[in-house]
Formats: sequence, C-alpha cells, structure tokens
Amino acid sequence: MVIVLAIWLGLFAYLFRLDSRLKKLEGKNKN
Amino acid sequence: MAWKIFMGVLLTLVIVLGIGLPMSPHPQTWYELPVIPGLEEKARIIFFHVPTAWLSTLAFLTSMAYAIQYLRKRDPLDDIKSSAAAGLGFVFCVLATLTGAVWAKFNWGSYWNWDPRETSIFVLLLIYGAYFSLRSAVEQEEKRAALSSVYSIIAAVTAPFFIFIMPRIMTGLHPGAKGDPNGAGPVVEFKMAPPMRVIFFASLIGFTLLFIWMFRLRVRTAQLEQAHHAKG
Repeated sequence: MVIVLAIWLGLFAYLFRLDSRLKKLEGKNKN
Repeated sequence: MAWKIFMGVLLTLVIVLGIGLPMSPHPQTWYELPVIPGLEEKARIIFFHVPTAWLSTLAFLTSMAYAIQYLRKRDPLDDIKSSAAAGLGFVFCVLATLTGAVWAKFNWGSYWNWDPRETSIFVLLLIYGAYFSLRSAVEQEEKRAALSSVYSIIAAVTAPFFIFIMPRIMTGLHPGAKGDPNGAGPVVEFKMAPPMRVIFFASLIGFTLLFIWMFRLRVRTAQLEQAHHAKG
C-alpha cells in the first residue's frame, strides 16, 4: 500500500506543479 | 481547483481503503470486505484494473469525437485534443494490461494466457501504436491531422468490438466470457458487496476526473508548444 500511495502522491504533486507552471507560461504568452 | 483536490482525496482513499481494509469470509462490520472464493486478497486489484480499462475506452471514444469534429471544422485544436486523448488512452491501456498481467500471474499462474480479453487489448495496443507511427510519419500538419483523424475514427469503431463483443462471444478466463456460469460477471451485474461497490465506483469517478485533468494539461502543453513553434 505504501508503494502505491507514494507513486500516486508523487504523480499528484507532479500534476499540480505542471498545472501551475503552465498557468505561468500561458500568462507570459498572453503578454 | 476544488475538484482536483476532491479527486486527489478520493483516489487516496481508494488506495488506502481498497488495499488496507481487512477481508473476512463473513463480514460483520461495514469496513470488512468479503472474501471472494478463488480471488481472496487478489480481488483488491479490481479497484485499479477495471477503471484503467474503462478510461482507455473513454479516451479512445473521446479521440474519435474530436477527430470527427476536426474533419468537420478543420480546427487544429480539435486535432490536438484528438491526439491527446489517444495518447492518454494508450497509457491507460498499458496500465490495464500491466495490472491485468499481475492479476493473471497470481490467479491463473501465468502473466499472459492469450485469453480473448488479453488478445483484444493486445490488438488495441497495436492499433493505437500504429496511430502514433502514422502521426510521426507525416510532417505536413494539415495532412497529418486529416489522416490521423480518419484513422482515429476507424480505430475507435473497432474498440467496442474488441472490448465488449469479442471477449463475450468466445470462451475465456475472464468473468463474462461465453459459457461463464456466473453470467456477465460481478462488475456488469452489480454483484459486488456494498463496501467493495462503494470503493469501486469511487475509483471509477476518481480515475475519470484524473483523465479529464491530464487531458486538459496535455492539450494546454501542446497549445503552448504550437505557439512557441509559431513564434520561431
């Protein structure tokens, strides 16, 4: 369970980071 | 934002409860999962195997829908969405194959048995693998989009046959195969015990939301890539 949970939480954190980085890049692109 | 946190909590709960809840031959409390004869502890993988297989179907159908849209309106964004959905469908198809192979090893004694459902997912992987080969083989953007849209439609038309029809008209190891005395299987006939059913449907909802999030991220990334290339 710990391994599956670690993989999932890692993926979740990565997706959140990607989401916020994309937001920043989209903002730059508009300007 | 709120729905992403909801999805994160939901899938975390599915992992913790689906793997962590105790199993008992005669459940006395709400948190005990029943022991299914022949499956025992291995039954837990159903919370991950079926949702990944479901998502690959959803993704391939989404890819087809955007492919049709592209052919009608010729909007490059529809092509981006169609290929993003096909890519995610392929990833989830691989995950369904891997989780299924692990389950098969411990239940049927071998990672691969050429059961009709295993054969059909293998053929689907080949079909969608060819989709990406096709995309990478054509350099001109409009031509690539048109060709891959037509291919995506044809590929998605075959998907329901491989996923829903072929495994049911042939004898095999999966539940719901031809001649199975238990009929269409526990998922289709809602034969699961209530606590298992709650975790199973929570997993389906969670995975579907995860797909929507990943799909949007992939589309936004591709749009930024395109804008970057256009700027030179």
